[in-house]
Amino acid sequence: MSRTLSFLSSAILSALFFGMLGAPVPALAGNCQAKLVGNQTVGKAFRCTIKLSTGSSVSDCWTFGTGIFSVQHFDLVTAFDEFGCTCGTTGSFKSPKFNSSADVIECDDGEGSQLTGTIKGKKLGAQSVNEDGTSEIFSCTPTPACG
Amino acid sequence: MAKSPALCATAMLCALAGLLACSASALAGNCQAKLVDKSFACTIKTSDGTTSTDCWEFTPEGPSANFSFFDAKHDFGCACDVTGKFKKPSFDNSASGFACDDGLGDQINGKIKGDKITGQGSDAGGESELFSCTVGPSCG
Repeated sequence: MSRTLSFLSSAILSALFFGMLGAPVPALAGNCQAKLVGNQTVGKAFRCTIKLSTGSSVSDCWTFGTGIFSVQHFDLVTAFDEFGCTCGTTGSFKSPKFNSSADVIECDDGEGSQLTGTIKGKKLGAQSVNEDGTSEIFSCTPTPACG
Repeated sequence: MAKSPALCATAMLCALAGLLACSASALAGNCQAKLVDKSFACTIKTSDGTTSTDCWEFTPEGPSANFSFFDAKHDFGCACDVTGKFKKPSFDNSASGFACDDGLGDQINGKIKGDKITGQGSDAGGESELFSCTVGPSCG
């Protein structure tokens, strides 16, 4: 029941935050934001299975969009959290190209959780580490929408 | 007849010892063992165009139950990356990859390469950074 409510609130939050507060933040051509959000306010959604280092497993639904945390790039709203994201850096240390990776996403929720994901075709895989040292691994497949 | 239970108990103890030895060596081989009690002199390039230097000190104490590091401003809680497949993940197990979060919106993920660590980080606002660090004297 609480999960259902959580998903509903996630969907409402997604629509509210991405749809009303967010103005689209243009993506760099070919980077991960272009694949996940494009030049929209509400981007792609994924159904995810999460395995936690504590031994438990949960499901989640993720929606990418713009206009919440990451004033520069894009955001991720889950049933449990909201993250500000950017695409990974490519190039060398001498000549880095920030926010340019086509496949790697880097996100932080501002409250002790980070997430590094990789786009693999239509799927998304990710790992997360929390400030307390616990971690998670994610496997996500596309879904039309959360909620 | 009395020997069988004794043999069984011995075998079980050996198996238990083996398991313990296994898990201890896995922990000994993870990234934590290579980072804790070391300090690194870091050069950091940020997506706003600035370059800065910092000193990072890894410790067993701090916000993470595994290991942590502190820089000039914050404490970051860390864990080694997950290895293995999604079906059978091994958490906090990577020998070289690690990720950390400061609880205030900054995160990094790094790789150990010999005496160096390199990697990238970002904040919740979408700013990102690239870092290159070399093992050095204590930050204090």
